[in-house]
Amino acid sequence: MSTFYRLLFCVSIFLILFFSCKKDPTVKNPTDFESEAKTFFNEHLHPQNAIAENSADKSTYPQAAYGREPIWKQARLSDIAGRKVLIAPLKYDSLFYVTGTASGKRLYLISEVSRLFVYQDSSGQFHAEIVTMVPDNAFFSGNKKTFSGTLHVDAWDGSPLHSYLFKDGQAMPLTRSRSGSPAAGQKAEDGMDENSMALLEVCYYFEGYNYAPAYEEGYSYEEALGCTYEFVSTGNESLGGGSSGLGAAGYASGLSGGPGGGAPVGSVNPVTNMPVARGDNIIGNITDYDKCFTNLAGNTYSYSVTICVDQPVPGKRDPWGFSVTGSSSGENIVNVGHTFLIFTQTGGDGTIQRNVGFYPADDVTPISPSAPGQLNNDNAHSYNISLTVKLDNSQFFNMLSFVGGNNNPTYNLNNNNCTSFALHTLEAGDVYILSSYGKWAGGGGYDPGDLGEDIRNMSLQAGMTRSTNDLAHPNLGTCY
Amino acid sequence: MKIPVTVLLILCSARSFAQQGTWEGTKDWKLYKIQGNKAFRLKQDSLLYIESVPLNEDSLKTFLNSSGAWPKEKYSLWMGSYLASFADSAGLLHKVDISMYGGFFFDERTKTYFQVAADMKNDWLQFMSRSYEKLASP
Repeated sequence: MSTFYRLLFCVSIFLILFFSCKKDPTVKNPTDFESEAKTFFNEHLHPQNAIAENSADKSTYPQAAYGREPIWKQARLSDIAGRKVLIAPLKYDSLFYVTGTASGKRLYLISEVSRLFVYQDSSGQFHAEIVTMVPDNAFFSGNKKTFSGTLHVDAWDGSPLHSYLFKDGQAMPLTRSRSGSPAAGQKAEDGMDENSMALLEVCYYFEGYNYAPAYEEGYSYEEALGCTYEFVSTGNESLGGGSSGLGAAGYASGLSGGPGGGAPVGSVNPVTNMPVARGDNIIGNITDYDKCFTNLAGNTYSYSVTICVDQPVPGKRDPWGFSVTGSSSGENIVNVGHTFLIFTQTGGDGTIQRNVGFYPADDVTPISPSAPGQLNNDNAHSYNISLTVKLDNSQFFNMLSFVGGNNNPTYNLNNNNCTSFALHTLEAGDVYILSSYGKWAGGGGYDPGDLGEDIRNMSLQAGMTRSTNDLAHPNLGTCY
Repeated sequence: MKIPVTVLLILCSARSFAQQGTWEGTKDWKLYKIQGNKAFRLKQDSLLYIESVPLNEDSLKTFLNSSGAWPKEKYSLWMGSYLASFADSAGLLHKVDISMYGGFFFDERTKTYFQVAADMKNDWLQFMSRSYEKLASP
């Protein structure tokens, strides 16, 4: 009898071991999935934006302009919306901060708030997406357990895929628009029920600042995500998956913590001071001010100049604006606007950027239109329309020579003002912009009002870009 | 009766302020995140809704105490401006436009131009520029 039980025991153990070791053909081994995911990434995507390439300025999208790569040894597998997802933190070749308009003055290090998600869709197609969360003020004033803020999903090349607003435990899709045009808001409005009424419109921006500690420089960018409306409860995008990739809840759960690739959202430590290269306001020595630019033919560097126009009456040719209507200041304020230039060199060790504007050193009026001139750093000056022109090195340096060679000429409201200075500088590099003359009591000449409208209406030639976004334009780059 | 008294107080405050040119009694200096045309047209009672940073009053008063008022008929052209405000010794709010190039600024309440001393202009412009950068940074 004991032999029988002994035999039964051995058979049972054998059967248990046999069936427990048998693979289920419908479920892949996680190790196989991880291997396939890495193979897909390395074969199809990794050559783009690899750190070794230091591919600044090669990407269409600023978020992907600098090299980055996943840290596979810290990756983890997660099960999201019924799919296996490989989540890996990312290593960037420079410090890179992001923030949002609802984030106060908090800046988040990109490597802390972004993760790479690699997964297969229902057809077996692999996807590699970068998911970035930007906590808002409510997150930090709350218990830090429920995420509040925006979450952005981009393809590896930086192209935007999805964005969501997380607020009060709810998720709403955001319509994204890189152009910053009102098209996104209009799209949302067009999709509304006729009986709906907007109670509150809140527009979100995804702002980034790229800072390279080795060079104490960086550049900022801003991407308009569009606007949310209180009455749009669910938006036009599924939050559970399907066409939305892993869905809002899925992406958020992937970032909710855990070892390895999980982003411990509650421990994200924002910074509040963004490094910005500063310069004196009045440019004492233009040669010294411009010395970081490198005059080199070929493809190592790319050069551009941006002519920025602050019209006295935005969208109109008025050469000046009397702030009588609606103003508490009355006729004592006569605003003639301003025109200035931004010189930018990219490539090599990074971006070098300098703002230059021409002003009178003292007060001027139509009756007393002349004063000694001075060159100013206009990096804090706002504008409402601009034109950027790509240049070769000789054009770029001919313009800089003109600026340097004309240091401190006499400013004259009629024939050598800020607008004529900017136009003549462009002409030194063989860039000609036909601009109308304005007239005013006691004289006339080039003026920001007319130039702004001429830029708005001109046919753009190759290498020209027009913009009506008043983006930050700090001086960037230092050298010794 | 209330309105004339208020007007009288404002006039007295403005007059004494402009004539004496003293800035020691001023306080709550703020710089706003708005420039130029929009700033000129902004109503004083809307200042509350504009993002601002306090200005360092020790530094500021060094510049202000060097400044002098222009004659009433003198003015200048504006080619960019910062917007600031302060409270005078009577507690009245003053909206101030500050030139980005000339070292002059305009008190909208008293409709008076002031200009910092010529040898302090560069430092004044840099002080304003750097103060504004604190606002412009996201």
